[in-house]
Amino acid sequence: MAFERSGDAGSDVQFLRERFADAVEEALATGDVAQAERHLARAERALEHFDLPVAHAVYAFRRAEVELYKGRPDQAAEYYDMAAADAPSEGRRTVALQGAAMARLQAGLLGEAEQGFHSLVERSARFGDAEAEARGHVGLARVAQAKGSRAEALTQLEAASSAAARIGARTEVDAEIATEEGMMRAQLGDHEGAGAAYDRLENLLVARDVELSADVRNRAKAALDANRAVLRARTGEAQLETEPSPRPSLAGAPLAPQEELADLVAAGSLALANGDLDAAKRTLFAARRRLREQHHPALLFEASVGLAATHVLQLQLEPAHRIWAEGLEALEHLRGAAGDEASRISFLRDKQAVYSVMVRLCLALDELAQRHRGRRQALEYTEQAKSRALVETLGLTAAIAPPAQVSAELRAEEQEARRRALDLDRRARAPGPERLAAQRAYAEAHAALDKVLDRIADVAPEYVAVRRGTAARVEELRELLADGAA
Amino acid sequence: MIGRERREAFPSDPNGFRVRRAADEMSRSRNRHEEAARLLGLLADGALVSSEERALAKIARGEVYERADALDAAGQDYEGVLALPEGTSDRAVRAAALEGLARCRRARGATDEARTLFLQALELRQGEDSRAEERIQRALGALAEETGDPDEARRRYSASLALARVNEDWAGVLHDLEHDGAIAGGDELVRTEAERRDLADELGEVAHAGAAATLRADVVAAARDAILDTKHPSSDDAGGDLVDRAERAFQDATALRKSNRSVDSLARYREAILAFMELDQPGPLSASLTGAGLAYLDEARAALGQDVTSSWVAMMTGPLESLVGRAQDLLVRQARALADRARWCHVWALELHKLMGSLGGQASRIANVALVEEFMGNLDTARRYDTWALAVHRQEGDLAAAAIDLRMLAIIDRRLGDDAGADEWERQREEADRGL
Repeated sequence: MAFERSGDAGSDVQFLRERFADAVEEALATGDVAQAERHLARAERALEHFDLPVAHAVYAFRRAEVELYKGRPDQAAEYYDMAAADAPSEGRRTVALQGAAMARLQAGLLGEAEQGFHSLVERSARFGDAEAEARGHVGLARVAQAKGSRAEALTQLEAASSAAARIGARTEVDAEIATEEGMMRAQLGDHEGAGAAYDRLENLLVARDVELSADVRNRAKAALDANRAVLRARTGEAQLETEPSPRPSLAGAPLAPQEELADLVAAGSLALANGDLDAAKRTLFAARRRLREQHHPALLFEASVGLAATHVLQLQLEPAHRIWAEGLEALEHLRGAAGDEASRISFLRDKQAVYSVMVRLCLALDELAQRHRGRRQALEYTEQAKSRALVETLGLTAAIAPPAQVSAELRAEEQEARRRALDLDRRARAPGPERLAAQRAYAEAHAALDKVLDRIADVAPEYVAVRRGTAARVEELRELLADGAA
Repeated sequence: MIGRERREAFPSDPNGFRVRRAADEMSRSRNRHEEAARLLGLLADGALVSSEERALAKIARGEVYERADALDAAGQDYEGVLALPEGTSDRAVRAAALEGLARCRRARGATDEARTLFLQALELRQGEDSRAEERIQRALGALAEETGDPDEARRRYSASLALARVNEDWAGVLHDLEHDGAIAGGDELVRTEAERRDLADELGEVAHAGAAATLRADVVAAARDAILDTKHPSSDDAGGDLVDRAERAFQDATALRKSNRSVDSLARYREAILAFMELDQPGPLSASLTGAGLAYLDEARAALGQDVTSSWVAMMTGPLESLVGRAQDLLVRQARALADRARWCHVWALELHKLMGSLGGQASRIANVALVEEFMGNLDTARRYDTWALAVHRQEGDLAAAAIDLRMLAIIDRRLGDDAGADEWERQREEADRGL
């Protein structure tokens, strides 16, 4: 066919119009990234002669998919944004926006992902697209879970279910909601609720009226089996005996790298739970090696924690320390991108133990390997964990104004106490002869700030919760921040 | 005719290699310098050997004389090599003679002549042998420092530092940083000291090993205290002279260890160690320490329990933080004391190989320390040590030792979960085995 010939402007344009989208999809389906990139290059040449928004949208959408495949979700998100901007219809725009938010979630840009899913929910509600709205809520649930706000995650899943109920037919999104809900409830210890969600998923998979392709049905079934096995192990009904079977591929095509990696990490974690430490180690090591190339900090964190734990159980504390440090880096990356200050506080709420383990590892190595570096590092991590809480508590990075019900006098007292504590913290962390004295003075200043906060808590408990890093629900924080901004 | 007579005297010994090696062993390992010099004299002063053989033997004998502090005799041997007509010996041999003579002149305080000789040696070594080049640049740095030329000293140390980094001669790196920093003073001293500290922290024992490594007397003293303070029942073996008793103790100990009686072997190793110390024979002393180190490690393994990990895993639940504490406790309570003794044995042996001037020997001792680190769960350290040992063994052409390093690296990588890495080391080991 003439238009397959590359290099000729006319044939390139014809290729872009008629074959490009499918060609990229086919290349990715066979894992041939190089071929997909060649198609993209050809489309770029065509765009020089075929300057229509729709063409740009098609190009950007496929480019985003390729970037995602290559493990560059942050770049993918930008291309999805471009695709959304040039999209020829509301439906296409919605798909692109959803892609952008999902890519940002994968990149660990939790704050931006959250914003994206919120927009998706609002737009979908406005245009009456219940399925997209449900997906938006599922995305928000995932963000909330990544931030450690499990209650908020379940609230979002409930909203997703309500939206899905308006679709008129049961679809893939119902299966997605049931899977997420089952896993979240299991993690919360609500085994009964988890079991009910998995039962709901099973019903969906066997029902004929549900719009699911055979591929999706098979994969959901495999996930269901694995999740139920984990649930049985959680409730003590059974031991995990085997590694989970690999997720079935779509119509014989290889899984996308992100999916493969997620499976690998899950398999490693299951092997660890099973006590098969060698299998866990092999699997998680392989996953981590690939995750360093694929930008997926949440999975990298998970794999690092699993692998480090495996080493601890084999009395190999030195590699455990190195790997845990890499996990901490991934966590810090996620925390930094969690969004506003309140989100960052909330993010670390249930993760302080990650720092404690690191401090313990440093001290253990110091004793076992007779290295003074270990003790020094332990102090550094302790300081880091403390200063993390401190920085957030003191509000270094963003201003959160106390709500209106806090009196002017209390506001002034708090401001002065905070300023003094902040100043002393800086001096306490700077090298020099004043350091020790500053550390002592800081402890006193912080106690004084605490007393002021105690008094404020009587009239504005949620504000104090944010300041102390024990933030409650996202809605409360959002309201609070809106008040502050006003 | 000459060929036949030579074959009878030294069958299949091209260039008198085996004689030189035997003499070297005698001198380095057992401090029997006089006998070594006599043996080398057969070649160095022999009428029936080629001038190349004679040159090599003279250099070897010069080194023996240096060890025995007979600097004039050493200088004469080096001069003898240099007096040979040009073209009868290769550049490396001439360079070795020049360097040897420079060392002798320096020791006698003839610094100008020493510098000239070092510079001539450097010219011959440049681009040919980076380790020798590094060594000569360092010697020139030291000469400049001694003669009050700080700029020249810093230039030379900077050159040797760059070469030491490439050669992974970490003791050399630490030495050059120390001297360069001390000469420069101020901020540079602060910077070099910080780098030295970081390197020592990061590299562990490897930071104190290499061609330029010097004896750490404090480490030897600490090792001696740690090992010899341990009481073992003494044997009834009091017959024969000290040499016989030492050899017998070593052989008995090794036989006991190899028949899985490590705990019984330790008393005999201790006797061997004490005897070889008295005899001032660093080679056999190192062998005894190595055996004792392996025996202590066997004991540590037994104390921790062969399948401790699986039973421990079954018992352990709870947050990871407390598991780390319990793992630490288990290792400290059950294994650390014995593992520490094993480590001291190998570290002391490492110091002895520095004295003996054996880089390959140092590498093997570092690999032995790696065994202890691997056992104590310090897999990263063990891997670093074995990687360094492998590089040195390969440079030294010791394929058998390199094959052992490769096997250890495969084991470590597998324990780290890196099957692909382990397979690659195995592949290289098979290749090395084929070359043996």
